[in-house]
Amino acid sequence: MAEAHPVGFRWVMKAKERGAEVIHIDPRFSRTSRLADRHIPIRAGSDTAFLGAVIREVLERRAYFHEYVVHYTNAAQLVSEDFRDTEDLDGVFSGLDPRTGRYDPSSWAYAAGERDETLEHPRCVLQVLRRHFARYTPEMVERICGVSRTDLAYVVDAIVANSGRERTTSFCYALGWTQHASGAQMIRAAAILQLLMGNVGRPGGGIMALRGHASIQGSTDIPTLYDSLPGYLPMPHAGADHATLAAYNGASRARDGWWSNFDRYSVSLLKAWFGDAATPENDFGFGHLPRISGNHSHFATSLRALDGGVDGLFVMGQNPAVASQHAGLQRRSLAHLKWLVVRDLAEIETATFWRDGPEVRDGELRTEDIRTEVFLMPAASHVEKPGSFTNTNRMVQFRDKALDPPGDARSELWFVHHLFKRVRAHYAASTRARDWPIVNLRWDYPERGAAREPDVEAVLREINGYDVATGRVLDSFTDLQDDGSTASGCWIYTGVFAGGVNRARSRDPGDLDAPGGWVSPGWGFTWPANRHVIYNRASADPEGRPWSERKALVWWDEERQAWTGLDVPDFPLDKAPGYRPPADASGMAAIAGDRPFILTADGLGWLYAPTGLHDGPLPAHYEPIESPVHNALYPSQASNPVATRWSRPDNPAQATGDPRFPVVATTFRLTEHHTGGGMSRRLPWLVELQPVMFAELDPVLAADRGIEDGGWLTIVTERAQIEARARVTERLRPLRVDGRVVHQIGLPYHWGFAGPSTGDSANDLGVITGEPNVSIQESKAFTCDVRAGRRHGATTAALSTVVERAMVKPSEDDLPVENPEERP
Amino acid sequence: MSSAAPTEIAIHRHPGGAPPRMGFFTDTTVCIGCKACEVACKQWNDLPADGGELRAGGSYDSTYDLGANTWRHVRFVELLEPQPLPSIPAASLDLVAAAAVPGDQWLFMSDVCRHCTNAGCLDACPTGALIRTEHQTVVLQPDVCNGCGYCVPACPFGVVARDEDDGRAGKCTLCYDRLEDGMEPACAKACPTDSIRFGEHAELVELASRRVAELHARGIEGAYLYGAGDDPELELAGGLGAFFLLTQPPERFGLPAHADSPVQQNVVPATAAALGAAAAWLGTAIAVTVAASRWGRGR
Amino acid sequence: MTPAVGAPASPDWAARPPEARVAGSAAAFADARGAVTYGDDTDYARAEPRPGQVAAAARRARGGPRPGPVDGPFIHGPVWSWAVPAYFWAGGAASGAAFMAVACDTAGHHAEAVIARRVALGVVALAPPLLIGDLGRRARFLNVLRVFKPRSPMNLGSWALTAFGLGAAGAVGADLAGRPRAGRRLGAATAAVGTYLGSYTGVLLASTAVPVWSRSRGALGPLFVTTATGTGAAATRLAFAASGVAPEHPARR
Ligand SMILES: Nc1nc2c(c(=O)[nH]1)N[C@H]1C(S)=C(S)[C@@H](COP(=O)(O)OP(=O)(O)OC[C@H]3O[C@@H](n4cnc5c(=O)[nH]c(N)nc54)[C@H](O)[C@@H]3O)O[C@H]1N2
Ligand SMILES: Nc1nc2c(c(=O)[nH]1)N[C@H]1C(S)=C(S)[C@@H](COP(=O)(O)OP(=O)(O)OC[C@H]3O[C@@H](n4cnc5c(=O)[nH]c(N)nc54)[C@H](O)[C@@H]3O)O[C@H]1N2
Ligand code: SF4
Ligand code: SF4
Ligand code: SF4
Ligand code: SF4
Ligand code: SF4
Ligand SMILES: [Mo]
Repeated sequence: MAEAHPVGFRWVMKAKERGAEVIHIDPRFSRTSRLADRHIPIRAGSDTAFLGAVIREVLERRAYFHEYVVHYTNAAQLVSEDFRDTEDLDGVFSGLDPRTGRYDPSSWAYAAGERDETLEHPRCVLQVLRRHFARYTPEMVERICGVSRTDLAYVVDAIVANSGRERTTSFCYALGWTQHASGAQMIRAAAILQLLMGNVGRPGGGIMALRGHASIQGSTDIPTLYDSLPGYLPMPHAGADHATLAAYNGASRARDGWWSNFDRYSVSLLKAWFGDAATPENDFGFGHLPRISGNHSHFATSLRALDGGVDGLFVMGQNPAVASQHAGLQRRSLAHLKWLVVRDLAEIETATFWRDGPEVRDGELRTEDIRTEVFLMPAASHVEKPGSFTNTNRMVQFRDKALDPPGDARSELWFVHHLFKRVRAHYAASTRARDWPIVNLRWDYPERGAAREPDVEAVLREINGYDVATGRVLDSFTDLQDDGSTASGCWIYTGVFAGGVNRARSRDPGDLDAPGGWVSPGWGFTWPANRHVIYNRASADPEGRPWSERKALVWWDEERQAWTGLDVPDFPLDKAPGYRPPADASGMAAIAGDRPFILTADGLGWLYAPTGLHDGPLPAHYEPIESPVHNALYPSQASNPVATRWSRPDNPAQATGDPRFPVVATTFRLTEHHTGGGMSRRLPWLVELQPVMFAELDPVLAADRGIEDGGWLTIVTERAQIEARARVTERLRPLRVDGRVVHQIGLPYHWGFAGPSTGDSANDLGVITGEPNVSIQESKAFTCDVRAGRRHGATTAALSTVVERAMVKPSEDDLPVENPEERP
Repeated sequence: MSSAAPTEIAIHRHPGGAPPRMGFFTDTTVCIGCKACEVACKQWNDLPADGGELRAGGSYDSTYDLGANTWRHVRFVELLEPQPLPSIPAASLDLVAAAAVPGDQWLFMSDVCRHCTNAGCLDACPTGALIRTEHQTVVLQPDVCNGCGYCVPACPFGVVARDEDDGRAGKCTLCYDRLEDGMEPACAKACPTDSIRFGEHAELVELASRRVAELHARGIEGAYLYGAGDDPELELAGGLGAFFLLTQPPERFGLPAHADSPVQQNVVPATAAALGAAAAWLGTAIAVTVAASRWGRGR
Repeated sequence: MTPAVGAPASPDWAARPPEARVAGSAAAFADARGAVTYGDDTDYARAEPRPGQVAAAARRARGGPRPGPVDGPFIHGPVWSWAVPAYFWAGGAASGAAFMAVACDTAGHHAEAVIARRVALGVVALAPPLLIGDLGRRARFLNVLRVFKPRSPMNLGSWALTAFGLGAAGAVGADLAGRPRAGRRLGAATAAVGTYLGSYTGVLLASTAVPVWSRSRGALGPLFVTTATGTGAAATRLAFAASGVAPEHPARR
């Protein structure tokens, strides 16, 4: 965190100076470790085993926050008799279809309505948990993670001592947990632990996802993801249950809890998009939305392009030729497009792969054979355009333009706006049904200045939402309707323009010394409803009193019969703690006054997730897809049974325990560089701080392979070989894992072949795989080998034969035209 | 703590009496090694990148040293103990527990000109390019410097350097231009953890002293101030305007344990010895010549 | 936004009122006070030091044995080129020659004194090009004379060189103009300056942080002036020989 979020880390430093204990669990001793009270080296990809052991200890010692667990989590809920655990099925859950490699989650359901608040029933969630984690013993942690039982006990003690009424523990994570074939379950494990310890919905608690690019949170809220619509509505798919709006709403709406409001959000979104053309009669245009028919994630699309299935691609603010997994394959995939538009600040690798990529340099591809027509368009940077960032704590902050962009550089908004206007001009007269969305899209943003930049605040106002009849800006998403009378581009952002004022622009820290002044509600706008801690009803006990003075956040005001406090309460304001829903209640009325997790249908925090995940209701430790060791916990199940593998000759994964690749590689960021390096490798001030691609490795491994500190080494996988300078350091330690020594190396992934500071890319080494829930690659743990000296021969030679065979033959009409002027 | 001696040439632009001495307190125990200070300094002062290289044993420090174009520099020193290989096979499962106080094992130190009370560079400078300002900081005026290079070996801390392309010497100005506008220096502004603390020197010494006491109370016995709060006979260069909190002996950071302005230390005795010898030689020359001619005539 | 007030040359610059600040500035550097890590709400510096605690901690840390690894150089070495030692030689030899001139005069060998004075002038004439040649900014060589700063050996040395050069030139000029007494007086004054010019180079080196030089502060000046007198005498003797002064002449002994 100190390296990738240095400015956020100041708050960790502050907490430390206020007495907090900071523990850093990471394969590498990093700058973060140096500032932590304790660093615990762990084998990459083994965190579920570690967290599972912490959960087990907490359960065995009965050290969990009993009252919180009984009332606020689903611990007392009984699970269906059909459910079979990994204990019963040798490492997999019930419902696995080995043929499709998918789970049918129906057996994971609750036994409806059955609860046991003594937590003794064998099928109650707490007992299921206890049995599930029983094998996550300290011995297992030593065998799997390479972490001593002393260190494990230290972590457990620290968490137990810092949880409860008076204290809270917080988890911060980022890619060390996400970029794994079982990444979502690592985070689930932390969520279970935090729920057991009563650390959710309370100040100083929670699980902090440290996000990436400046507005990566914003880009999941208003998503750049293929399977999601703004405000976490699902993207409609081609199946029958999304055929009509009613079917889609019915399939997505929950009977109870907040998501019972689903229709209001989907209809308001369609109204924001299609305006007056969206009517109840035409399903508000729902039928015209594109449908997904499978996995259309980045990797699926790259592979499809490689197979000739994609004509053109817009790449805006991304550098897949360097930063995407299996980058050699990514570049070959770009070489199979007909056209490619790259919008960037600089001439990045993705725009130049056809002339200076490693394949071209090494003679595996010839520039004249690459028929991709590349358009490089200059983009305005974040200081050259106004807009908003949504940060990791969901805070939307607006920023003004500081400079005019140079030359023809324009904002993304400008580009998309004018591109759409030109496209629409072509369809103006069309009456074809399939052109309906193009013709009817509501697109009336005012343009400003000589460059005709669209007004970005007009976009934010539309995202906020308005009353269709009057145009009045809405103050809260509780005003949204499902009859077409309101429009909102993203329901969770409603309120950002409350009262017609751009709240994201406000910068009032308030009186920081006043009690609760640290909440600073006047700084930016935090969705939803300017609420800083979600589920904050949990910061009060079932009766509505703060668990302790020290940790008070919101509470029930008996006199006013309302929820109140330092933060905006995340609960219906007038719902008394003693409220019990009548038997036939539905919607929010079905949520009792002591159930804080209003986004789940039962209002409880889910220790056990009966739905929602593709790879099981509980986390189970699986080895990374490429691992030097077999799964000690579930010997017959090496890696995640439902991970996407994309097994094909050009994407070879290395087998578990492959003796040719005994070393574990993990990748990381440097404070001094940014991602694919498009911005940082062109800035001499940063390049001088970290001038070359390197690999961090431990002295034992280095001595074994004759690698010298500061010298060269080559890292080899089935996909590629790359060279790097060696940083031999005690900061990396060999671990003893399952009776053998495992060495780990760390690779920064910032280097590529273009720009002033070039170097081999770590991502050339990787294999494309997908975590089952979110399709993320496993770039934090794969296997490799290292040897002394520089690379001999081509970087991705291993690939060229298989890929070229797959290269599609050009069809007649897109053979190269002799004279480009004559192109139609 | 002595304050800087009034020097021949100084700017006194503040009508309402001398403003207080300003300085830096750099606390290495809260530095996260992000190098924001190093870059912020280059950006504010428009200094070129002068190159970095990955060096054996250099840890994350590629720029190595302060220089004519690097006025802030973050030093990294790795002191992690070599660990024995975890024993194989797993007869006893007693893995080595992680170190409990890792802070001391990887040192980060953001280095800068000390703005010495007894500034060797300033004493040596023949052109008056180096001056002491009203903030009692030591500033090098690039429009006066003729690149004689004398300040370079006259600095006991290896701070100031001459740029071979530009010909002039360069070092931290304690952001004189920002101070004139009431703004804190760029490096301190950029520092996310307040490891670089800018302020009135007297206040900083007081804060730093309490910090030392606090760290001692927390069991970090090795914490001390480098360049402030010393007994008079141990003062570094008369006391440093920019001083540091360290937890390891100074040599670990490439810092001398003792230092003073070599000019102030040596110029008087060395001149006396030199002039004495010169006079003696002049006398000898006269005496020898006279004697020789007498002898010659007498022959 | 308020721009910065004035420019260095403009009248309002020197007299700028304290309230004339640029945007972003705060009175009394208040922007430096927005601390995160320390403040009343943290334990950053809660403890009160005992008297002497801070000084004792530094004494301990700085007084102990040198730890094993030492990171980085303590000082920057001199950046001078060959021209500087050559200059040292020239200045020294000129001073030595000036001494010889005085010696010859005192012994009554006025003709030889004239030669020695010419040698002093000739050799010192080599000094400025060498000195200026080593400057990073040669055009600014006169900047050394913009201040008189006795504390700086290089400043004082530059003044001495100037005085010596002028004196030596004046003396030779007077000799040529047929005013021997003036020549002799100027020669004596030049030699007096030469006592500094010929020896300050040692002071200059001693007044650096380079350990061997700094530690030899009592020896460097005498050493330099010794060699200066030696080379000056040698140069003068060569000049005598070249100008036909008989080998048995006392001044050539
Ligand atoms: N300076 C800088 N800052 C950045 C970025 C940048 O490129 N440069 N990128 C931004 C972006 S896009 C993102 S997403 C964030 C990412 O921020 P982080 O996730 O913090 O970044 P990484 O360095 O990729 O990974 C963090 C750590 O995970 C460790 N790790 C690897 N495998 C494992 C494992 O299996 N278990 C555990 N416990 N740890 C493991 C690595 O050693 C590394 O130290 O940073 C953002 N901030
Ligand atoms: N091995 C390995 N691979 C990884 C990771 C890892 O940890 N290990 N991390 C992954 C993660 S979390 C991420 S987020 C990705 C990041 O990788 P990419 O998504 O490929 O992102 P960048 O390399 O940051 O490329 C962003 C580009 O946007 C340009 N840019 C900046 N501002 C603007 C703008 O306003 N408009 C436009 N049009 N362009 C702009 C920059 O110049 C830069 O070239 O890498 C992933 N790849
Ligand atoms: S002034 Fe602008 S460019 Fe500079 S740090 Fe602040 S936001 Fe960034
Ligand atoms: S002597 Fe060195 S440290 Fe002291 S003020 Fe001069 S340059 Fe800075
Ligand atoms: S190099 Fe410049 S600043 Fe240094 S002593 Fe010479 S004139 Fe002064
Ligand atoms: S005070 Fe200014 S000049 Fe000195 S190091 Fe900091 S930013 Fe650079
Ligand atoms: S900016 Fe602060 S924290 Fe970062 S390296 Fe510099 S002194 Fe350390
Ligand atoms: Mo990211």
